[in-house]
Amino acid sequence: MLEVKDLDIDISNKIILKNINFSVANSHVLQIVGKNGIGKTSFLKSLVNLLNPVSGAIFWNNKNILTEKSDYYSNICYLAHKNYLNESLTVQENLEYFYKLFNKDNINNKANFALLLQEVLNKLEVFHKRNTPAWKLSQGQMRKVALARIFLSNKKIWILDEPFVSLDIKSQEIIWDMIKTHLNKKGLIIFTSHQNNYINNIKINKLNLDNFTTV
Amino acid sequence: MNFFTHLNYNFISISRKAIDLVNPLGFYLISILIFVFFFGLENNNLVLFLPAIIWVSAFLANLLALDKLYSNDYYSGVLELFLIDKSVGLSYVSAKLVYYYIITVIPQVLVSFFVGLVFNLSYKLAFILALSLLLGNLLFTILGAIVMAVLVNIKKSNILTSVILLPLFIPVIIFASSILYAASHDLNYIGSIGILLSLVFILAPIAPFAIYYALKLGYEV
Repeated sequence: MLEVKDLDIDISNKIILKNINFSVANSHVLQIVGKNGIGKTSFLKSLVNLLNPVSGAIFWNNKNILTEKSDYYSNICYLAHKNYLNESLTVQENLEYFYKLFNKDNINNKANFALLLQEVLNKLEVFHKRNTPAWKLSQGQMRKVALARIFLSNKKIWILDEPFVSLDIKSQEIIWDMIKTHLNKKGLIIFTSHQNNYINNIKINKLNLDNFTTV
Repeated sequence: MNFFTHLNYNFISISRKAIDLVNPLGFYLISILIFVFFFGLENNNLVLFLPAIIWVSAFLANLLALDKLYSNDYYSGVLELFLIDKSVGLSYVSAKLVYYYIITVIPQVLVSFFVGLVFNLSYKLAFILALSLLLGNLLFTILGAIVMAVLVNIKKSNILTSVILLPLFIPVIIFASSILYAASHDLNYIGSIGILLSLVFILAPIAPFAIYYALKLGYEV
């Protein structure tokens, strides 16, 4: 379970969000909503060690992440607005690179990785692009490869910033299928999106940041 | 392990962007040639000026190359991903230092040795010149990487980089020139090499931490 208590977030020494409280249990999804510029991305960054909150605490399995940093950060996988792809590397090289860095337990199991990679890229319908340099991909394909990095990981917590941007309806359905699989494995997901067309059988809790703004 | 993973994929990446490899080296060679032609090939004092010419050219070529150190990773967002996990971030910045040194500095050092011989430097002086570049540019790499990390989120920071980096680099230039002066006058230059080496030993262990936190700060501002 991920729990946030009295979190205040600032940008350039100005507090933009105050007293955020919520919790997400395993196998649950939390959608962060709010108007443009309210601080949704900043809020997600504060959950992944890219922005230090002014005050408040984040608990992962009842342990404060300030004292149990390694356990928490080894369990998160973050997708940002940017796709985090090295444009000179091919799709497969990019995914291998990140897999080797962030999935240390499975680093030596190359055969397993190859199978997993084939399965994920096939599902996302970009397997035929595995040897294509990232700079040659369309925006939608880049987003799919970025999402493939998340799906390949064995992390419990997925933090996704606008995961459905640039994706067509069919691809969005595929993503929801994979989200459902992750939830079945006791994973939890926090994501931002302005969309509301979800698969019916996934229950989504919402956190509206408009209620916490100081601006 | 992460260190070698970063290093490996950086080399794969540069192998597909040969221009990033060739550009600083080409600039370095052209800069040396411009100075040499300006002084004149027949000038007897060219041998005296050549080490300084090579050092200035190396400095300018490094300034050019440093600009690309983190910029690709910063604009693609990959850098942000590496900073989430401290161990991955520290291995990334350490690998970047080694990678930069291998693809930018080592070729310059090799070229400087042969350029020295071509323009009538003695074997000994050409070797000492290459050695001084090897050590001096190691310090330049470390200092430059820290400064570039501080300026990572500033667009077109070239002028700012040189303004910040030049004063930091003056002690290195002083000791490097004293090495070359001593070598060309058959004096003892071991002391100056020792000082440069000790600066490397002081800065190298703290540099990855300084770079990591400077990069993180760049995302928080």
